[in-house]
Amino acid sequence: MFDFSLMLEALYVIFTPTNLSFVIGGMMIGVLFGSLPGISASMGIVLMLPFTYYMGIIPSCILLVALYVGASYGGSITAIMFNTPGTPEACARTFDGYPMAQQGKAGRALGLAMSGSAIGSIFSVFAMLFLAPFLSQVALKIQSAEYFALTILGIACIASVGSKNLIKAVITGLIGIMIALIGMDPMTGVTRMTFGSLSLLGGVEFIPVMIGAFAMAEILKQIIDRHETKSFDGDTQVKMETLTLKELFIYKVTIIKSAIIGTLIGILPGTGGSIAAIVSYGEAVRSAKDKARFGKGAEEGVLAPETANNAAAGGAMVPTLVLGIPGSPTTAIILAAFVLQGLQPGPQLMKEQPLLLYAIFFSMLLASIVVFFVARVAVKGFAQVLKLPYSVLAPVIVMFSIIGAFAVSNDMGEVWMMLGFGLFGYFMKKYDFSPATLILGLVLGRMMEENFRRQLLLSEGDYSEFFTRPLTLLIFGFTALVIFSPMVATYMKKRKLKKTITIEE
Amino acid sequence: MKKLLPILALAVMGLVSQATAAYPERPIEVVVPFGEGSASDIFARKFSELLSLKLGKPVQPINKKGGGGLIGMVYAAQQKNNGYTLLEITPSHVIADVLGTAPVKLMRDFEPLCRIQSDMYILGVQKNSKFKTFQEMVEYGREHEITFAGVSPGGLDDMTLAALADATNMKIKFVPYKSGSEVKAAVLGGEVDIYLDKVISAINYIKDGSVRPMIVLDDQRIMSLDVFKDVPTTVELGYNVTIGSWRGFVVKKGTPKEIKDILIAKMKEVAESPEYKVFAEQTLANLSPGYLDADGFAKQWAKEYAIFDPIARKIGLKK
Amino acid sequence: MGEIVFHIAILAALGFFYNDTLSIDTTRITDVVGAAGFPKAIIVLTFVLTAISLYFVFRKYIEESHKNIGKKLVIEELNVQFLGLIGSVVAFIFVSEWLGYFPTSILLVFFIMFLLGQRKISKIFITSIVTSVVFTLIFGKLLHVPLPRGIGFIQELSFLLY
Repeated sequence: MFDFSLMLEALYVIFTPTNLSFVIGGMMIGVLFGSLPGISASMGIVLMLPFTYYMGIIPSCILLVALYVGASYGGSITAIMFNTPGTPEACARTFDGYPMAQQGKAGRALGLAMSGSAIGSIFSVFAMLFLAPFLSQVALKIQSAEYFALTILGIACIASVGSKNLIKAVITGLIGIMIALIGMDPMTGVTRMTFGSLSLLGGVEFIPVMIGAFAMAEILKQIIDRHETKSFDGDTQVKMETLTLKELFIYKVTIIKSAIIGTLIGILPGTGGSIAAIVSYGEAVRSAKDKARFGKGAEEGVLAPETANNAAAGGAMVPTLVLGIPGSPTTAIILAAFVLQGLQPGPQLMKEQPLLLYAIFFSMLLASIVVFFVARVAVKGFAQVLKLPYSVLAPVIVMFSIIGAFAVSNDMGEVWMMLGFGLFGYFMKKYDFSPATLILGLVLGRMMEENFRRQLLLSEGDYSEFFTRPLTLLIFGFTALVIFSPMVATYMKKRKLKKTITIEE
Repeated sequence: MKKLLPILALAVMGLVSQATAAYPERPIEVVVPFGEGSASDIFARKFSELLSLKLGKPVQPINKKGGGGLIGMVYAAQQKNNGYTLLEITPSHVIADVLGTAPVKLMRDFEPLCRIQSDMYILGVQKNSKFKTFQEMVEYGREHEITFAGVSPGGLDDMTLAALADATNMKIKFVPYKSGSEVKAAVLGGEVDIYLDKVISAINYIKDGSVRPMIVLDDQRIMSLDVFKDVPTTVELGYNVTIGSWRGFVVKKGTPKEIKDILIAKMKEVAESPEYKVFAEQTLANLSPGYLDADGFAKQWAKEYAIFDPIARKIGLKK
Repeated sequence: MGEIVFHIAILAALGFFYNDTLSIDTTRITDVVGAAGFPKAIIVLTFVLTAISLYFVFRKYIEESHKNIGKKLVIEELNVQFLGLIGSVVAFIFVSEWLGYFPTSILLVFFIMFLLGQRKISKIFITSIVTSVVFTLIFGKLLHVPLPRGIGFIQELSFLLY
């Protein structure tokens, strides 16, 4: 598969002035699209399609993949600064990113996010270049039972996300799952829990719920908090702390683990970055010594999901290019763009267009490297926005929330949804329920039910398939580790304490 | 300020009076009832772009996804019937009429403009499949249940194979997936036995040998592509099941005839333009004749309604 | 007290949803779980957990109730700014159908800034107009989001901007 002369040729192609400007330009447009809530990377690519009709195959492909890479960075900007996650993938970043921003460390949080994403992305494109054929064969071995196990692993992360009050965290997690089940049944197509509303037929859109439960709820909370003191002006402190490379090095284990988790999960068709981000966040919490910091602005809590999310973006390109099976909705659209260039997606793509893989590799690599260095300067500018008085910031966030919810399906009904979940999210926060697990359940619920029932459909109602497939068992084993290792750890601690006490006696 | 007001009023009146002049006077919306980047969306975007060149006003696709195309149809029905809102439709909308899930009905509330594309379905299996020919599969299927992967339960995939199973007396089990790519992964990974695919998304796998085409659901073989020359059709094997996907445009009932005539004429022009032909060739949408006039289009709906209605009752989707 | 009300509201909503799952059509037989199985199981589980949580909250409330004697019940959400913000978004949804996105968003920003205590009229004016122009151009013009255009001549005018 690996061909050195082709690689040099690709390098030569990329470094022509026009193509180089496509990479940089595409990346920048991607960051813009990604940072606007409600505007997905998919929409960005679709809007760029008319321009690519008249380009060649290679230039149009490198433009689109650079845009794709850029969009997965952009999402972190608004998620961290305003608590408005614009994509399901971004929800895990708000867990610790926004608390950091509130402590005045927005610059640092953004720096962590950008560096993490760049490293995750670079890791995954190398995996794509060297291991693509092997990894994509493995991806085909992952079937319904394994997908179900993966969603259970994701759900298990509730234990680490909602450690403050576990029973309430589980309640909101389950409510999230219930909301995800609204709409057409994935197995029979009948309507469920829509109360006769037609716009609920397609299911509840995630983005308005997320924007409501995070951004809108936060504004409402701020208003109540500030109401007493009447301090709506200029009290947001912004420290211009950024991040040095040396500081980043402390988190090398977290970064590498998240990059591997992200790439592997990203490769699976039909998962995408959200599960990758959630699982690697859960893993970061599990392996941390002091778990109490998480949710209050832990730096690993920003790095882990961010790294995994971007690694997943690269991972998703693997089956897209090698098998013609897109690893995520966005890569599906990149594939559609290939069709418009007269390419036929599928296993023969790489044989017919050998240069393409290398060109895409360099485009994604270059875009990531540029982000890594440019972002360190740019985040300072972004963080300045938070210096604005709250009476200016709040209406801007409200505008973002409204349009972000609206643009998801161009429907005012989504704005109602956003507002409703804003109120619900506000009360959840007030009474120590966890909006984060609500989103977790929402993102994973549909997939969990669908794969569980599909497996049962295939195995004629035989549950044993879940416990006999080796890969499923492996994932379940890891799930058990995530759930029980904190309990074991506290038990060991207590015993050790007892021992020392008895010895002292 | 007092002087400014009459000027402003005049400007407004000017704009309003302009609106009643020759069609089209302002941008036209094309409601795409599917998400951004889906095959139907890409087609609608390309077609709108070409149509706006012919009409001289922007033709703007807007996505109203969800409910298997229903949300978009309901939205279009809520707009005025002044010809400024077009709706893209596919067989899902005829199926929605059959199932009666929406308060809006395609055949009752809309009028056809024309059909632009028509696709045929191919039934495929993975390369290591135990079935070598379609006849072998039918014989096996009469005794045992065959698992069939597809998207959207109660949708076109589901209905089409149920119709084929009905005609051949096969026993099939529909296993739904979220997207076409997951279906493909399931077939290649061997989780299910058979699946239905469109030519464009199957051809490379067939060339590669990882998917074997069993049958084309049409009355004529696809002779323009080498790999399909030896693939039999349903009709030649004696099963009269020729269902495929298609895409066309409609307007709300009651749209003035002059406006409809303009739209139909311009759409026909686009469908016959060399730019569109290049697009159709790239997406392999030119294998069977795509353009169909308004009357023919309406007849096709009625015909397909008659096919889907008994099937829906049979598999328990309609009482 | 508020927490108890919130729990009861959740329980009520769950009951409402459970009632709807009873009418799910299960004519078509597929897998053993069926279309209604999963939602029912999730709702029942949530209901049980919420009830347990309510019990804890209630016990805590009883324990602490002697402290609250003599204190007046204050609902802190009943203030102008909290209700005003929610009201302004609701108003936005309705008014934008008539006035279109651009004029309504100017009013929205204007109103929220005023609500949050900003009193420099020039600052409010400039901010609301600049934000609305930027939002309308980016989302309406650049990204082709079909923003509400309003009705009548406002609709005609909106075509000039986005």
